[in-house]
Amino acid sequence: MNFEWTERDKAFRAEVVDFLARELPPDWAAIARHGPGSKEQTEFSLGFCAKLAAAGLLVPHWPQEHGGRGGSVWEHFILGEEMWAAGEPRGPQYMNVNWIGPTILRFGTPEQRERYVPDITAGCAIWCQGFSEPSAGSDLASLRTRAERDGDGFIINGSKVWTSYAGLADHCFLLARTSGQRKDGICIFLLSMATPGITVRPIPSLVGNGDLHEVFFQDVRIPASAMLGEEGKAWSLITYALANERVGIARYALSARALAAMVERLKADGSWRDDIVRHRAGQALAACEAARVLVYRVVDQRARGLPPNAESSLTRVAVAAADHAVANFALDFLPDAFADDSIHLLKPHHERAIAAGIASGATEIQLGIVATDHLDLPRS
Amino acid sequence: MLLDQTEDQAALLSTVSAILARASGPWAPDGERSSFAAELDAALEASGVLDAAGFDAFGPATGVLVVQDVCRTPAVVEVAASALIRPLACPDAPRPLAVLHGDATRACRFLPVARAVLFLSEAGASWCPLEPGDVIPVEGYFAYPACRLRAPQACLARATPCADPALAWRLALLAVAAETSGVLQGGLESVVAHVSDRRQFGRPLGTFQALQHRLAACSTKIAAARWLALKAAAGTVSEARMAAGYAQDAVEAVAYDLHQFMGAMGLTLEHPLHRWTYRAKLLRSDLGGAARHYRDLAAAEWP
Ligand SMILES: Cc1cc2nc3c(=O)[nH]c(=O)nc-3n(C[C@H](O)[C@H](O)[C@H](O)COP(=O)(O)OP(=O)(O)OC[C@H]3O[C@@H](n4cnc5c(N)ncnc54)[C@H](O)[C@@H]3O)c2cc1C
Repeated sequence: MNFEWTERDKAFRAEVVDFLARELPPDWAAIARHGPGSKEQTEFSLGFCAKLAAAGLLVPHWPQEHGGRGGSVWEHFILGEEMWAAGEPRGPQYMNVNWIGPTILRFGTPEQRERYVPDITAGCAIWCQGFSEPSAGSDLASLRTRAERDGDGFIINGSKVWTSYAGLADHCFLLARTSGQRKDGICIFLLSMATPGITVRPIPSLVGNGDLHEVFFQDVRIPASAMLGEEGKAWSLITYALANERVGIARYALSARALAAMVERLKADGSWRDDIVRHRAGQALAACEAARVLVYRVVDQRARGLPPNAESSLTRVAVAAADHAVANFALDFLPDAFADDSIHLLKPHHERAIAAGIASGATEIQLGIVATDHLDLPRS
Repeated sequence: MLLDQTEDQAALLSTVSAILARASGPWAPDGERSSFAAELDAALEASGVLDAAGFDAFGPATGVLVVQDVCRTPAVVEVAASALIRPLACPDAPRPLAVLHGDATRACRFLPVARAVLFLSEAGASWCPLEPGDVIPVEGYFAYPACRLRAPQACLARATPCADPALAWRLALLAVAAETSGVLQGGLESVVAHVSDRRQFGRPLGTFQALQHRLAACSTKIAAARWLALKAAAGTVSEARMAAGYAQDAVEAVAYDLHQFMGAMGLTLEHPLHRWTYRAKLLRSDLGGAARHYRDLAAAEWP
């Protein structure tokens, strides 16, 4: 058992940190203030990810034949940690490199790979994820968007909601039902957001303008070749695709960074001498490190080739708790900083912290999985 | 980074499991608030597993694993100081080893059975061998056997300073983290077994989501405490403070939930729940408690 980074891991982290120091522009704070899901950050990602690609840092963990370096699971993770700590300058493109691209590579036809992967590895593709619907949130298997066979294609009707990045996205990774109930009969479609019949409506929100959207599909005609994988068998494919996402984003890295920035402010204004402030800062830091060590545990299992298990759900509970510990520290000791927006990443951190326990599977869903699959409590 | 146990660690832990399995009989609750499993304690000592942290092939992380495993049982033995502090900071001290922090006139767990006491203060660390007449019994309210020193100043005067007091402190914090996380894990396992079995309203209690979620939340905190302690084993004093503080901070919510879900049975001395929760309740304040460790952590992290 050892918690030491290898020399290779350290060198890789240094490469990423250097890249960020070099390539994040002077006005990055003003862009990052809008949050990783914002229109501003999505637009920024286009130039930034192209530079990452040129430096070999966009998909370093992908196999060499697809533009990667064949990097390790840990390198993939270090990249995510440093990016998120910086406020996620990749914007929506983190999804491309983490799961959309790998899923297309694994399950896509040669034409689908040819069509989508080069833009992803060049850092110039914006995708959105069309999963949630008005009546299918936590219970994703109840989704109702229909895909009806029509000659050599499909006609899509239905609506999606909370779709991040949809306003600027070129493509949608869409779930729709051709038949069946619940987990049966769901298909994945890769489609252009410019297809006639798609309407996108932004939803004003607390998490940065341009993040959340409704997407309506009215008689949207797509070719059969837009389907990824087998008809009606999407559920196991999504499970595979999102297995890597289960530990979630390295949110604690941003929490710890935001906490450090808050402490600098408290030192400057003299409040840091207060034992209560320091106690709470230490407690928030411990929450971040607790999340980090549990995430490392899951990454280690993945690096050793072990199958995903309920420890990733357990970890996500701790990750959300860390976000909240830091967000509440700010509310208790630095409320004025929200008014003058004077602490780097304070607002985007706060906004993502609210979302941490909801997006990509609510904390209560994770707790349920921990209860039955980790503690082996009886199912109701 | 490789978070799996080494083969040597796995072999050592299977020795620990075998010792625990052989000794499992005498832990049956005996109607006493406090207890000491003397035979098990002696068996652990004789096997050598408590010395592992002092060997390069094992190190303190192995000590943490041993402490966590032993503390999961309801048997009260002196394992944390012996497996973590003693091998590296005061190898000449006999064991069982009681750890007395701050005011030397305080009641202290394990003093009734200890053959040495380690004094920890802001000024340093020193240890002193004990004779049976050196202690005065007090009520063992918190599951551990407890006593006061009859003549604390005399003991302090004859104590041998630890060569590296900073190391003794770091390991003492680590010992609190390891013991607390192990004790909480043992209590959780006991309650999970109970609510899986006990039926009310025609179904096992453990099927109610209210219990499931709170036990899952407890399990998250305990897992984090366990891994923070393991990470701190080869780390800095700040990491040890963080691990101790986090584990102690978890006690409030976890001990509350464990007692809630055991119902009235958990209040009896027939059920061993108190052997975990009352140890945890005393550990909360050890070496100053979570608030102090968090404050010191923050002060060191952001000087
Ligand atoms: C910032 C943000 C970005 C998002 N981006 C996308 C996106 O790009 N694409 C996309 O498809 N979706 C997206 N989502 C949607 C997200 O996946 C859903 O919000 C999530 O799955 C929860 O669904 P819901 O919001 O409908 O909540 P509901 O399912 O209505 O649940 C509400 C609450 O009820 C509780 N709850 C629900 N089920 C249970 C249960 N079984 N047991 C106990 N408690 C329960 C939980 O506390 C939950 O938070 C995004 C969400 C957020 C917040």
